[in-house]
Amino acid sequence: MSASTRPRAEGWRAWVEAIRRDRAAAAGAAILASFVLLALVGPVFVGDPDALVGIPHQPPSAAHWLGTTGQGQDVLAQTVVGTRISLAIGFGVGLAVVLLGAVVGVVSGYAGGRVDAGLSLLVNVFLVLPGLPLAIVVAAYLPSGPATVALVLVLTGWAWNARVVRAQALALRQRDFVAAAVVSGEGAWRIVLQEILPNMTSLLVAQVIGSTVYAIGAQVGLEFLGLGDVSRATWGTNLYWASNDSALLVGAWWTFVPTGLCVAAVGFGLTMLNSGFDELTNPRLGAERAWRAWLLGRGLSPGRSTPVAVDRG
Amino acid sequence: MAEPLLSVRGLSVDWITADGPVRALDGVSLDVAPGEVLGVAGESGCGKSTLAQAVMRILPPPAVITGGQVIFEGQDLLRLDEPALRAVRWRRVAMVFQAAMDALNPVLTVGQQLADTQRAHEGGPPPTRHAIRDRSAALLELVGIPAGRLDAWPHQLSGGMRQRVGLALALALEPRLLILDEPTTALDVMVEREILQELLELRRRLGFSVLFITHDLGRMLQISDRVAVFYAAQLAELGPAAALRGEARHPYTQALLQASPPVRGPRVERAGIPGMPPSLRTPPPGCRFEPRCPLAEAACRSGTPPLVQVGPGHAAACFRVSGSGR
Repeated sequence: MSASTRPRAEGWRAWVEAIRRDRAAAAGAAILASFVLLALVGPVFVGDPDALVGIPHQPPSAAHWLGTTGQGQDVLAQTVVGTRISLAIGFGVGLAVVLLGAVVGVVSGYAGGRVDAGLSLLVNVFLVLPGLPLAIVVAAYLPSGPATVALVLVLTGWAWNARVVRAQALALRQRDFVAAAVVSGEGAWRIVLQEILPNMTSLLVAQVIGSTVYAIGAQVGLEFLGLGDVSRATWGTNLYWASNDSALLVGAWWTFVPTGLCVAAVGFGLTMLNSGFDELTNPRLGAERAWRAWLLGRGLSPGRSTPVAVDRG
Repeated sequence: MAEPLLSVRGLSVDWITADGPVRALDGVSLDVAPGEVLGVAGESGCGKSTLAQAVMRILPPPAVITGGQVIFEGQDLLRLDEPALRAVRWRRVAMVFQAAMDALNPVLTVGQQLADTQRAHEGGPPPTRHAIRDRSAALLELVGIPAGRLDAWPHQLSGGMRQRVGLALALALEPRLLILDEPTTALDVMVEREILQELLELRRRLGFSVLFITHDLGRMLQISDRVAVFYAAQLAELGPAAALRGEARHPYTQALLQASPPVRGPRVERAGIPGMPPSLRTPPPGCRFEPRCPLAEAACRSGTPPLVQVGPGHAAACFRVSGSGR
């Protein structure tokens, strides 16, 4: 009986609990956590990624676990050290893009009128700018480096999020609970922050995850094209150098496969993490959990019609 | 009574929650004869809407049907798979929802929605567009809306008209059973009366049966042939409307009838029913009405009273009426 009166976990505890309940989310969180750990402490153990430590294009061996690059550098060291900048840009850009998009979108959608017209025009301008070509042009003019890459990605990435959030804000603004908040005298900011934004949590979380995956991919792409700082080890420049050193021609797969797998694994982990958050931000899904388990325990599966669990003898 | 159109036998529904199952409908049995209007009355949460949705098998999660049978036209609906259910739904059993404004799609005109219903379920060769439009116009006129409103959007109609459109949608495939889940709750009494009279007239002409769910017992006694009164997920009393009006046997039904004042007669302070319905999570051990019942005695606390015959076609679940009578 006490179970029903126990307060629901709140704040970050609720998030941790949501991840622990969902096996896919837990696996995704574990993958991400190991990459974050790798980014934080990994560089201490692997040494200087730029040092010329051996003969170029040596396959994996006891001395160099992932072999050497076309320049004779250690691939393991480059991959591990590259994780730091790549993840920082990925998460930083992912958060910044969603924050910018949410602010512009919700203000535009809730305020309406001229504010909406002006902000929508701005959003539309950024939407019609072709993203990657613009990124290439901007990256070519600014001093190359991770900060430039991040700036370019935020600039070209926020508009779509703003558009989606605006549409959602327009829909929520018409709901009765917002009208009730207006009548009860809540201020515009309070309505936006307390009434409208929390109803979009699942959308925003999905946007952060999607934008982070995009940011990591786009950043690797830009750097692969040589638009980053090619003297710093990141996942993108690793691939740039692998290509420059004709890794494919000489069959040196170990120079690009580890980096490629890292990019894929981080994207995979983020996507799996998303599934756990759906339930957290949609209370109804959580309520169905016991129901699904009960049905599965009786060999039934949830379908479109009400399930029937009658013992026919 | 002739072979019933719908026969519900011992139907039970549970909500599966994190703290265990909660019984929302507990072994309910009732019949609907062909052409009959069966009213189902009770307080909020007593299981009357659950019954309607269980018959259609459209209860949302976390509901599970955990016992009984729902025999419709000789078929147990609880044994049907998805395609077979689809064939029964709307074609044989249709429903008018409580909030017709929400049941209509705001981006389709009334005519399009009527046409969709006919197309989605038609068996033989697809009817021509003209045939569908003619039929849609006829359906609208059937429920008292000019055929000219076929091209109206839902937001252009008043609440009463939208409820009528809901009724037209339900009648589009000439079902044998019409389930009305508090269809007039959102309407004022004038419109309510108009629609219900229209409904009875249609029933007379088309010959369908009606399962009519409401919390308005007085209204229900006016339009139903027989009435089932629910209390806390169980059937409290079931009988002909005339018998209930005159001599309700279950103390709960009596109290309900006492609670609504007659239009004529002396002014009397209405007592209402003290207390609240019990929690379905922890129902009382004996009769569920016992904590609020003016006639309760020791026996009422120890066992659940069975539904017993108290008159022709009239049964009540109360120890005080089941013995030697009063």
